[in-house]
Amino acid sequence: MDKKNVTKILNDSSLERRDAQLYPLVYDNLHLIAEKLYAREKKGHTLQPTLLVNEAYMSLVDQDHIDWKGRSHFFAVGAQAIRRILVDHARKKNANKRGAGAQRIDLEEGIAYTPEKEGNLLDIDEALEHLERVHERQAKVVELKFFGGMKMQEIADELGVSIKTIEIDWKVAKAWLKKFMQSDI
Amino acid sequence: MNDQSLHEKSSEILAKVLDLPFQEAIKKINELSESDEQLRKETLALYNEIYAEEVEKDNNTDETTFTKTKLIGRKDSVFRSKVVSSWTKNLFGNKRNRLILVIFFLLLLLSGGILSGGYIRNNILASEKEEKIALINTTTEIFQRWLQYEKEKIKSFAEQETIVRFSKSIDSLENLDESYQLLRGSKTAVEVTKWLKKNKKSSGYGIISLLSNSSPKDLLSTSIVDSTGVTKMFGADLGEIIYKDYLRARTGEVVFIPPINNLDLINNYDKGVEKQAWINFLCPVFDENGEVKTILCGSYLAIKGFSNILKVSKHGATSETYAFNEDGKMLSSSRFTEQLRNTHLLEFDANAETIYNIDLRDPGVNVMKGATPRLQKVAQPYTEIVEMALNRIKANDSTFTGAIMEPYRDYRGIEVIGAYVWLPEYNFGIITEEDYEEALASLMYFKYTFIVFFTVILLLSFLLFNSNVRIARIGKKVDDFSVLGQYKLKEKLGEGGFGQVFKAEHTFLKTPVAIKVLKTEFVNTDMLERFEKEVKITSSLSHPNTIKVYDYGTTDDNNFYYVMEYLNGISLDKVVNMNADIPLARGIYILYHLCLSLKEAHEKGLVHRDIKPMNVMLCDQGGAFDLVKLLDFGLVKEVDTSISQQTQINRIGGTPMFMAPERIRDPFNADQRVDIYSIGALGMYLFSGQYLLELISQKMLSGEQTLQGDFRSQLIERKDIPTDLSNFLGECIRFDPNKRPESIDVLIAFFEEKNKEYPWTRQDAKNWWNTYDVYS
Repeated sequence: MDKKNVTKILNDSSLERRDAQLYPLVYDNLHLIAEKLYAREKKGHTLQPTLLVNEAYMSLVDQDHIDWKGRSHFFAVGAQAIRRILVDHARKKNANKRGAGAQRIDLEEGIAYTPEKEGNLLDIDEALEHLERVHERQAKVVELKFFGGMKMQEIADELGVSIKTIEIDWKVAKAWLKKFMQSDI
Repeated sequence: MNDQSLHEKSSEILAKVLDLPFQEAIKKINELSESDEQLRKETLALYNEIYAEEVEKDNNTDETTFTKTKLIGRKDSVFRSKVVSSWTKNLFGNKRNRLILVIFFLLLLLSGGILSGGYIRNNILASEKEEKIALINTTTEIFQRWLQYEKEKIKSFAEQETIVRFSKSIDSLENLDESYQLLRGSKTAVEVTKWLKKNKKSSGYGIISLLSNSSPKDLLSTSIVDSTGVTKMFGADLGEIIYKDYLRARTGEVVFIPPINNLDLINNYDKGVEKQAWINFLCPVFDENGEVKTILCGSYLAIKGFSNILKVSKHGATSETYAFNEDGKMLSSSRFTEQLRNTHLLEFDANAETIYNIDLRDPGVNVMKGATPRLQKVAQPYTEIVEMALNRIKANDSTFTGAIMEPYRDYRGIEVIGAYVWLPEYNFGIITEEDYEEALASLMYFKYTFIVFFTVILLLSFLLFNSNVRIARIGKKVDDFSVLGQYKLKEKLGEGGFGQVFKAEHTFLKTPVAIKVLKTEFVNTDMLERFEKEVKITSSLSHPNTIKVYDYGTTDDNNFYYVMEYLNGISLDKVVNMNADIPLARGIYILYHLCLSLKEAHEKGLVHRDIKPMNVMLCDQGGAFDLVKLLDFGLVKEVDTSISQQTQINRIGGTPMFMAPERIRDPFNADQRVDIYSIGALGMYLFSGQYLLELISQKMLSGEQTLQGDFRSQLIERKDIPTDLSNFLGECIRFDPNKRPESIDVLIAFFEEKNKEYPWTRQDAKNWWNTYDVYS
């Protein structure tokens, strides 16, 4: 993967198809990292998506030539990619849905992936899809924070709204997701 | 109502109630959802989720920290370290507790030292006492054996046939003439004296005398024999103090008389004779019928036989054993005789002996050091041990031994401890004493060691306490760091090239402020003065588009800070980086207001020198949307440029993108036209979303050969930007300052005109803010 290439895409804010170019690169890289980890997967093994995204950032981006905007955008794309990877993997393994509320989900800490939690992951993914339909920005906030491990300020900058807005979005979205997963048995 | 708008509405309601207490929040939700039952239900359900989570979070704070720590170490060790740390925190946590702890520890150590000192002392004294009593007993035993031997000796001497014969003739002569003249003149007297003198040497006695059996008189003696061959003492009366002993001898006993001065021994003793103390053995001389004919008296110089026995027991540097009598007189020679001769105790007599000359009285002062006692000798009390012995004799309770282990002054006035024994059958006692100081020398060593040890500990504790305090002070400094002057620091808002910006709050007014702490230390006062001057000018700026500077000061570690108004807003940098282009009207509006701000500064001779999107804020100040604020006026730009610019210059988005070329070359350039350049560059950036450098390089890459002509006005590609605007901005960024618009007034006039042409209304601004700060 060419570091300069990714960095250039990130810095080139005029490119309208930036995401379209960036996403496959980030996805491939993350997928590669994740596959390696899956191959070594053991019971009780945890895999933290936010760490993976970080790792991808380190390997894909030339950090000396990127500004905050590029960085936060990379993480936004990364969050999207890792979500897809995790969910696909869970589906492939035919993981059963756990049923809502069977396991407490600590959205606060970001997801910590274990094979046992795959069903759970699918629940969250599904709930998020529903939230996207109801309130797109709130769903995005959850994705960025949960899968991308981004900070509130970074999310605010990425989405172009105030940090206060993000904070409220996060709180309401969490409440909504919990409520949704509890009711949807 | 569809799900979307339902959720949006409940989100809006929730945004308004999240900071309220539970009851009020519920009330407000009911109020805001009015008649809409579905909305009310949905909102309440979500609020309950949020509230439940917050309560849970509060409750679980301890638990979660615990589970977090669990990952670090084993559960029990974590628990233990937690207990320990909570203990240490309590004990060392604050200065007072630490001080108490240190004092407590020192007191404990001190009392431990005192206790063990006392214990050691008692132990020493107990063994000293045993030692003293053993010594006394041994001495007594030796004395008794010696006395036994002497008694046997004189008895056998008295049983000699010659003595008996002599005694019989003396007695008969005595009987014939009671005035003793017959005896005095008799041949017998001379003969006896001669015989006694002859046997004196072999017997070892100093003097051998024969006393009358009828009255206490000395008859014949080897002492001072005159030309007549008879002693000068013939017929002399015995001293009264030995009558008792004389009488006992007359009844047939062998009697030992402890040392007595010769002057007291014989009445009217020849005064010319040297004063000497003698011990005497009286032994009756019996005839065949068992009648006492005379009394034989064997005398020794006390200094010889008697004292020598006691001398044996001397040990150490100060311990001495001496005999004493009922009158509290010393009966043996002191080991300190030499020294005592230099004192008034022996009247500074170089030949005096201690025997019989020393009264065992407490002089009250150390005589050995030449001090003179306050009291007359007779008025002085006996030394404690003598007093004790004499009292016991008087009480006649047949206790004849004792020991005093508490220090008391002996006859020299020196503190001693001692033991005594009284020998009633011989009428004298033995005292053994030792200087308290010597006896407890080992205790002294302990004490000195302890004092040294304790001092060291004390010193260390002090240092420890002090350093703890210092650590605590540093800790406090860290805390203090959150307090600068009148302001309490809250969260960090940002970190720039040469400082950190914190949100803060006035301690009393609680008004929010922003505080910028400059990283650079002001190494010289020159710099500090210039900075102070700048802050003063900046704080005098009052235009609403200029950030208000309230206050400034230095931190403990010599960093400068200044206090500004707190702005609720977004930096222009971020606005530009949002996906949508900045509307033309808005851009003009921003540039216009920036120029208004600059106008006041330039009039006061202050140049901003660092206008860039990061230093421009669009604010929502109490409903005044898109209020433009220019930050960071003129303050220590030199520092910034010279130190951190080098690292920033490589970074896209760094400051130099908006700096006039002459300002980059000369950081101290204070020409107002550098600001005009920056406004131009900023304008370019606003309308293109790109830095001037990028714009130029793109132009060149796309075939432009040179930077000649009006390339500047073609830098902006947006079609909605009027040509005169892009031309004007192009003029502002001329590299030659002289070719730029000459003053800020020109810019104001231009943007004012444009602003009228493309107005940015309050409603426009409000609309934007509604999408940005959605829930406000």
